[in-house]
Amino acid sequence: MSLLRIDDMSAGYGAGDVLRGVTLSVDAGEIVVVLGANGAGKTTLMRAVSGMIPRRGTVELDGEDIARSSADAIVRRGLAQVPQGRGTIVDLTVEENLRAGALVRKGKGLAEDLDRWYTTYPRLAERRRQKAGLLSGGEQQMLAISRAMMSRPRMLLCDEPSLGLSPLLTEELFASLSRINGELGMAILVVEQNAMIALEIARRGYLLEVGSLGDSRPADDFASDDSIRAAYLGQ
Amino acid sequence: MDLLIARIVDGLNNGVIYGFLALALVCVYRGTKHLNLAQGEMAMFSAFIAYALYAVGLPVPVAVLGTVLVGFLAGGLVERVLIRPLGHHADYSILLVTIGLFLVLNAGAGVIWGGDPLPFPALVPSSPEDYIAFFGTRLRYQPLLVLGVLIVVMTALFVLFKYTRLGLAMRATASNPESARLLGIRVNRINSLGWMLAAGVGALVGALIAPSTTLTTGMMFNFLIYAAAAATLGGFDSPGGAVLAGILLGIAENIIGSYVWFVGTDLKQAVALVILLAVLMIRPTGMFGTKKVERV
Repeated sequence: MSLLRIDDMSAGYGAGDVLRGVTLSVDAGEIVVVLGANGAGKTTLMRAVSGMIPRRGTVELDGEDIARSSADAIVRRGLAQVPQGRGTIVDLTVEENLRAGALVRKGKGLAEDLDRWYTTYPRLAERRRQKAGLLSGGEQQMLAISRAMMSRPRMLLCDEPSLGLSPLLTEELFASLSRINGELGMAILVVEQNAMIALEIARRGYLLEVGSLGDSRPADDFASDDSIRAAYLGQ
Repeated sequence: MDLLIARIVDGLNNGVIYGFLALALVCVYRGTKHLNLAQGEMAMFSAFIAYALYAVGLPVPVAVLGTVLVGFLAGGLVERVLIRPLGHHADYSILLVTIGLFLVLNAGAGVIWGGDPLPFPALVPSSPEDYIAFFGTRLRYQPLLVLGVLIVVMTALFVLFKYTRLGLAMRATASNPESARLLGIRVNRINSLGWMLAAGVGALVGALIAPSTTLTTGMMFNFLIYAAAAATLGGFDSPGGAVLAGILLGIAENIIGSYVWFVGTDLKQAVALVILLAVLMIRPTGMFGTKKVERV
């Protein structure tokens, strides 16, 4: 059974729908990428799934209906989000950001989790007492991922993690997402404009074009499709 | 020298009240970025409720705690019924609603309890002979009580904000409500809590100072102006800053009023506003407000 199942979901911001009848699924333990150009509706898709904007249709997490749940309730059910632009809480320190990520979960293991993410991203450890607003873009992205993971989610949504980062940093960041997937079996749905790098770590991909989502295809298949290469991979 | 100390002590009496009420303003503002202009009237109304509780025969301390509890709940109710339905971006509508609330509470208290000042019993001895001699001046118990309670409340809030999970959720919400939601924080509840804390703190101020100001519908009006000035001076997101600014404002106002011949008592209020203007020209976020530090 799919971990995340979206069927015929429509959403928008009041005047008309941006997304029309989107159908998508993510299985446990897999990375799925949604590719799309600027304005295709990628962020709208993320905001609709996470409950930040109203949506119609089916949204299920692990068989539970979350289509009418509020954004904070969805996070508490185990769907964590790395928002576009990283959503850094600039007035809190790095460590406070991470602790805020763990607020939704009860029980122990906070210290171990902090340790785990400081080990994964040593630069966060160096800056743990600094205001998060002072971090570089790449560090803020690492913080956003770690903070989402601090809630011990069942699944992770990533909204354009490469935004504003250098190619080298983007490479590093996607490698770490791949490791999170491999080591923790974490299912990840990532929307991304940088198709090339996203397809490297994904198992399957979807193409989002002006609010409509095509069928999913294996990631390798995308990478070898000439028309896709021309349109999305810049080749 | 003794005269100077006496004037500082006098200024402190008022300054503590400014700071206390400023603390209430900050509790709402840091969460929602809204200025509750009815904060003073809510405190005034709470003082009348304390009076009513006392009048039916409850001991004074119980009446004070009772009104704090009532204020706490009423603050949540106001947020839920009057503020939240307007949405978080309706800044001007919310400002107007707080003005409306101001008028309703002021007129309401007048209708219920009348326009004449009511005597409010003090929690501490306050006959003319009750004081501590201090460098030739008299420290009275009443303002000392207000100062003591203020320090306790401020410390409690500091611990709440800085060292508890709830406080972390409140600070996260204050800084970035959208991100806070995406971390699973119930942002509406947090904002509600801000209003509850503010109204509770306000109720405490009202009931504590009523013995010295006497209980009237206008008792809080001047204090609110100074409290808003103090909160602005201290930085609207800094509870400690607001309190300190309130105290300094009270002292500065009194000293300037005493020593600058053309100010006297008539222009005291203007002094506070001039200080406010001067500080904001140098530090737009107030003395202790956090500048938004952000790299993009």
